[in-house]
Amino acid sequence: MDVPLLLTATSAGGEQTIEDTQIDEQALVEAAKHDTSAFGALYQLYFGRVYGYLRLRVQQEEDADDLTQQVFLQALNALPHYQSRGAPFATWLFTIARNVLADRFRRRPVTSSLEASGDLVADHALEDDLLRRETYEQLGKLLNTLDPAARDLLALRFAAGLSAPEIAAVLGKRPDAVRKRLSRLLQSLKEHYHAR
Amino acid sequence: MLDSDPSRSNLHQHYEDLLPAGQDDAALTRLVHDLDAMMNTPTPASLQQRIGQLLLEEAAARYHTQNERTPVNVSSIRRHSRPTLLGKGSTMKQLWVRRPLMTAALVLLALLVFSGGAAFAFGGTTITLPGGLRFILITPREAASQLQYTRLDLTHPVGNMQVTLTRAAFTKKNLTIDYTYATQTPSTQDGTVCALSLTSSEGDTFTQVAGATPPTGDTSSTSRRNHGSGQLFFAPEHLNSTQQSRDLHLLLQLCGSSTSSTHAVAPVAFDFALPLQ
Repeated sequence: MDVPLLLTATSAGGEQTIEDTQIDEQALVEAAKHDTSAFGALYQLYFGRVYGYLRLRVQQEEDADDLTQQVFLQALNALPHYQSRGAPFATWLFTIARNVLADRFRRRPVTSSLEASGDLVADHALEDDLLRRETYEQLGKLLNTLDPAARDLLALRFAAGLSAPEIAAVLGKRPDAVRKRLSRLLQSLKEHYHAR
Repeated sequence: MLDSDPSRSNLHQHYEDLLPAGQDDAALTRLVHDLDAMMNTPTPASLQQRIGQLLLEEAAARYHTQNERTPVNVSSIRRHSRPTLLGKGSTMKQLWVRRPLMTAALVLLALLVFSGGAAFAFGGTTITLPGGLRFILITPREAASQLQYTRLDLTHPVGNMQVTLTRAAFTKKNLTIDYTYATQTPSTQDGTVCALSLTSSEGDTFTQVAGATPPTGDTSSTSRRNHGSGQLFFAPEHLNSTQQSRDLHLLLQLCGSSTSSTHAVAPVAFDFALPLQ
């Protein structure tokens, strides 16, 4: 098993050169492709983002749990066939997440996405103060006025933590188009958010 | 609105595409901050561990299918024992007689259930497992609970966090290190280990074992953890000498943030000695 030892920051003289590095995600993926037990590193990296995205897209917490499990199981099984083609691993993983989600919506239609914001407000309210709860409630109502595609876009950017080019790869659109859409969306939200 | 100001530098770093430098749009900054806080759902550690365990079992099943070097794995036992344990018209006696393989599987399953996985320790003599799968049948957490730890208390700054290796245990089959992390200031790090390497002065080789305990801890106002703890697991691949202690060198790198995981903080080295149990 050859899990990613990515910290080869030692110079010839043995003196460690410490500087910010980019994680070699591709090395992690390649290791996991050939040895499934190395998948754990990818799982640790992405669990929070996948769960966060799905939690925002479904009403019930149990559904988010179940879908998160499905996403990682599908990813584990499909990983040997994964080909980067220049796109980050995250785009592949969130494409799986969106497919799993679409399949769930087909089998059990829901009223809307990000309707989960109501539950999220409750989640946060357990640990946050009343003021923050009011903020989330206000924001949740505002988000519920958006169309599903806009809500998905925001969830991909804020919950999944994808960049505009990564979102573009997931959605099959151009990065510029995603940037403009996000920008317009935020400007529109800003006007209504602070008009309240 | 929120009771504290958003950490502008962190926010601009994470959302530089949405908050262009030089444009001080307070309303937009506030909106992005609130969206970030609202959409960073707290992740349940119990769920992460449960799904992680399932993935390990699935990985074991896949390995079994691909290599056929492992005669038994947890997933196959569960799958085969569940549906028709006592089929229509069957009696328990018939079950034992007609299904010797099922019987053997049930015995193994019972051993697994009642011994918490430790029963597979006999695998060293009767079941040949590839190295990478040892910790799948005996989970790292279970293995770690049986170890005798050496106190380390080594603290180094990693980025803007203080990381402390609290204790460690070293056997011929595994090496476990407990760590804690803490920061006094809002941090882009969340305590998640992004990459590791472990070496020894004797030239031993170690493999990081998938299934390391994810860090747990409190969350700050922007949903980033500011203190917590975790465990690192390694499997010695090759031990070069018969010495009863090792001088070890650990390079640890924490992830930059949960929302931009491809950025990592500079790695930091920890040097310590451990007795080989």
